[in-house]
Amino acid sequence: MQSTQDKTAFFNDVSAVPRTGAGQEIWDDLVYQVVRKKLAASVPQQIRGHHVYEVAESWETKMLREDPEVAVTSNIAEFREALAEPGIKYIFVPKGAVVKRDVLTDICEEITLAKTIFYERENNE
Amino acid sequence: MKNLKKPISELTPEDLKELVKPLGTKGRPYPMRDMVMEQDASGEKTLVNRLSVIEDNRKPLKVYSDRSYTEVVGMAMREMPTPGMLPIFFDAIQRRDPANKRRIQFMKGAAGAGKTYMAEFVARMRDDRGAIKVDCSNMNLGELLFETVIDFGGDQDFPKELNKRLENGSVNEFCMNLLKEGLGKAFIDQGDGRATIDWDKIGKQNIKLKDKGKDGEPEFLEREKAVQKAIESINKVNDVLKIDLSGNALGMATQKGPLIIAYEEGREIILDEFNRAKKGTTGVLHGVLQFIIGETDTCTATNTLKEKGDEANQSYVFDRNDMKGGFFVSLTGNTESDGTDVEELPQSLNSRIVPQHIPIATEEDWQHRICQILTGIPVSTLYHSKQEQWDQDPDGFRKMLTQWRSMGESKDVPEQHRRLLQRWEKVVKASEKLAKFYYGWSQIVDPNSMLHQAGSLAELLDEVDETYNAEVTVDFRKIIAHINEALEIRPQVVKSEESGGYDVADWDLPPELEDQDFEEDPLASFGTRLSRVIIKQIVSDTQERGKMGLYRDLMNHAKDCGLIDPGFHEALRSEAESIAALLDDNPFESQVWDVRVELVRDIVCDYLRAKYPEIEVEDNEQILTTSTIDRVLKEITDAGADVEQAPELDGDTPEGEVSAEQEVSSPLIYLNGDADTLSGRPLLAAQLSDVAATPEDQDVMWPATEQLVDVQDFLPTLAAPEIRAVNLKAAWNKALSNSGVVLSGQDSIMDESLGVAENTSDNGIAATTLVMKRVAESGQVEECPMHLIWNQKKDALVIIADGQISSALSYAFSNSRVCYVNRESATAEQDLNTALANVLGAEREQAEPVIKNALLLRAEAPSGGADLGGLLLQRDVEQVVPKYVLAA
Repeated sequence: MQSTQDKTAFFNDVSAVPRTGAGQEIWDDLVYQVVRKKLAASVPQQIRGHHVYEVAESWETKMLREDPEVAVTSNIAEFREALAEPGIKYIFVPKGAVVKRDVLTDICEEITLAKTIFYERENNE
Repeated sequence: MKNLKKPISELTPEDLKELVKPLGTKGRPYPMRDMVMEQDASGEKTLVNRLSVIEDNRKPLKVYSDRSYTEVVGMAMREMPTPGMLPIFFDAIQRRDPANKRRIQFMKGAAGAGKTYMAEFVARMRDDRGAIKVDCSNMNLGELLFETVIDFGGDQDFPKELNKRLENGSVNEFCMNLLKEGLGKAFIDQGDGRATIDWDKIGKQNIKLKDKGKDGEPEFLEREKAVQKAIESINKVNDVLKIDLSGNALGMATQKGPLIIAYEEGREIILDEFNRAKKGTTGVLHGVLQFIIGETDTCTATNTLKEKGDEANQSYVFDRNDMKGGFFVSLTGNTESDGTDVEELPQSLNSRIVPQHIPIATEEDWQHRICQILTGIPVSTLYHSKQEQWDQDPDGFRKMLTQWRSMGESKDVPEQHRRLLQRWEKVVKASEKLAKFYYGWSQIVDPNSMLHQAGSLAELLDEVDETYNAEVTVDFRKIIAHINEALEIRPQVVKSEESGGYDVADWDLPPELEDQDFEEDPLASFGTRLSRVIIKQIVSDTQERGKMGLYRDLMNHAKDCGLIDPGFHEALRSEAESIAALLDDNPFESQVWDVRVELVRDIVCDYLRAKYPEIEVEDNEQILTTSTIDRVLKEITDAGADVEQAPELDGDTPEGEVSAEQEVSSPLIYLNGDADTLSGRPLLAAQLSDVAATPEDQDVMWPATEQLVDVQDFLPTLAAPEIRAVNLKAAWNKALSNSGVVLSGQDSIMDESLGVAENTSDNGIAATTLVMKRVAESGQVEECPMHLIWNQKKDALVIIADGQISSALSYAFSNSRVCYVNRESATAEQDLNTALANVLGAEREQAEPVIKNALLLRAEAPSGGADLGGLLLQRDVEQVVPKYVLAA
């Protein structure tokens, strides 16, 4: 797990943000937002309204697991459930999840609620 | 509670007011295609379909949606159906009015026409739960009401437990094979010993019977049999695994089907490929369809699939009083001509559920979809719906496109979309050409198209038939595939003769790759790559299959549409209106000042990172501000403008007034590598000291090597907008002819060479050598002759110098039409060959001897009388009349 210190090292330019209580929440929220934007900076594959980003394993993808806005799915049943849930905007499929890429595409064709999906792959893939 | 989940009979006037989201009002028109009377050239009036708009504050298009106004409008603008489908969209919205008892729409059209997408989009626009989608191909339609499922004997943990074991890889191969056979596509083998079962997939076309059925489409085992087969294999596996099922074996049961669920939940349902359902099963739905179309107010559906002893789910009662506002049924189907298995609805229903036919896509429709795929919004349709306004106010359109693109959008807008929207004018032009191309392509390969029916392509009938058309069919999905491929960064393929060849050595260790941190911009040459992807597809579909007539016709069509293979040789500036030129989002070509400033800032920062590896800050703005670069660049361009206005100097100027030395005093610019001063002065002025410009009465001054500019501080300027122009202008002068050493008008060959050496040649080619310094690997500082060959017609440049350059600079060079050749590289000779071919193109053969002579006006021919390659690549070529670049 990435330590808070590691996270703040990257955002040293906004170090004036308070780090306790409500300030910590705002800080975390900001960090999560920046991480999501960073991972979604590339060109997505568009499947029936969904945006699918293949992302390399990194500290940013580790942070996605902690992001309360992101549904982390480790198998097909969880992925289907998240895809069909209107309240979920972001879905993360971590490396090691039992969700093959082509199956993900098939399910996205079937359930078309236009989500942002991050699909993690090995660093060397 | 959301209003669409409430029974329509219980909706209050306030609920209805809250549900309505108007589209097409004054000041906020919405495009619509409609019939208008037009007079043709002969004066005869005819009805034609034309793109118009709805703008009616009294009777706008009312979308009954639980979403917010911004969400609905944003989606309606972005996901707008093609102009040809707008009337059907209009109808789709009207039918969803809660007051309308007829809650069904049947759309028929060719595969890939977008009918399912439109139904999905309308459902999503109304309700964040979207539609339930059911593929009805080969389906017993009774399953829409009650469906067969696996009965886990009361143990709902069984599927989870089985998946848990499969997902952690603890199930043996024998069992895995049993499940694979029994579950088909519902069993997903990860290939690493792990697997999983997609329980939702069982019975939904998970077991393929034939790749091609009667209609040419794959044929699948129907649900009931597929569920039965799954149960058998799972029971066998469980004999081995012994997962506790409370003593029961798995069995079959029925549960409410998707149509009943949609009705109960007040949701939309899409019955896809409805007329490909299992023959003879439509009758089961007869009564329910009568209820849905508003002919009856109540209906009882009987469960015909129930097992013996299955007490639950005997029947279900549909009642209009319970019907919720969100319930709506969309049927989609392919046209009957698409296959023998496509079945018409029984006549009793066909007259009541009149199908709406999706018209064949026109060029206008293709352009609409292409714009949506490229930018996320149908720029062309929005532009054409009020062309005069947007022509007069292009920035206003840019602003509105940006607003619509992100209005109520839950996803981040991809950078590709944002950048292309900024260049909407080019997107409209490029999409028009692409639309013309794809539309023509779809017509040429379709033997039933109007083009073939008109007999214009009679000679191709031997090569084009139904089977071939089915294989290579051109629809909107193909464009998406091409665009996705063009957005991928792939290794560049070079011709065999341009390759550096195989390294005959030990290959055991992996090669050293270039800097992986540097990311190439996929949009910089997006248009070029898209053109190549399309051409590659044509070749693969025609030439490689022996269809030479088709290949010839399609390539000619591609050429007419601006899709010629934009190789580096021909593209560049000469094909300004090609699709490649229109869609390449190369910041180096941008005329927007802020983009150019940012680019220079990035080039300087990349240079600093290469020089000071300890810099870790990711944000370039923290290293050097754009405001500093903006100020410095304005100073440079203002100084350039002053020079432009200065009186022209010539060689006959009386001695004592303006010397030749003065003429060469226009400074060159190089990068300040001094960390202490660079933030205020990122760029420095270098002085050109030309030995040829030494007045006759003075001794030649030979500068010390330390006084020269380091070549690494100068190279990045040749990729930097504004600075490159200044430096290229300053690199050439008339000192040779002014000095009288070389006289013009004596010999035509000599005249041409002098023109190239002084950048006055009519052919636009200039070549020279600037002497700078470099720090060799040994640490020794030595002179470094840098050769420049500039083809001004293409604004392309070959640079030959010593030393490796960073990946970032290499990328910047490739986007600014610069070919850099490192004299020290093992592949220098090959690199030079490629560079000269790229930059000189077809003129190479004629230009090379002239360039060689031009360079020899200042240098001594190497021993053995080398050719141009030798002259450029040998380091020991002596510069007898050198041009030195002196540091500030």
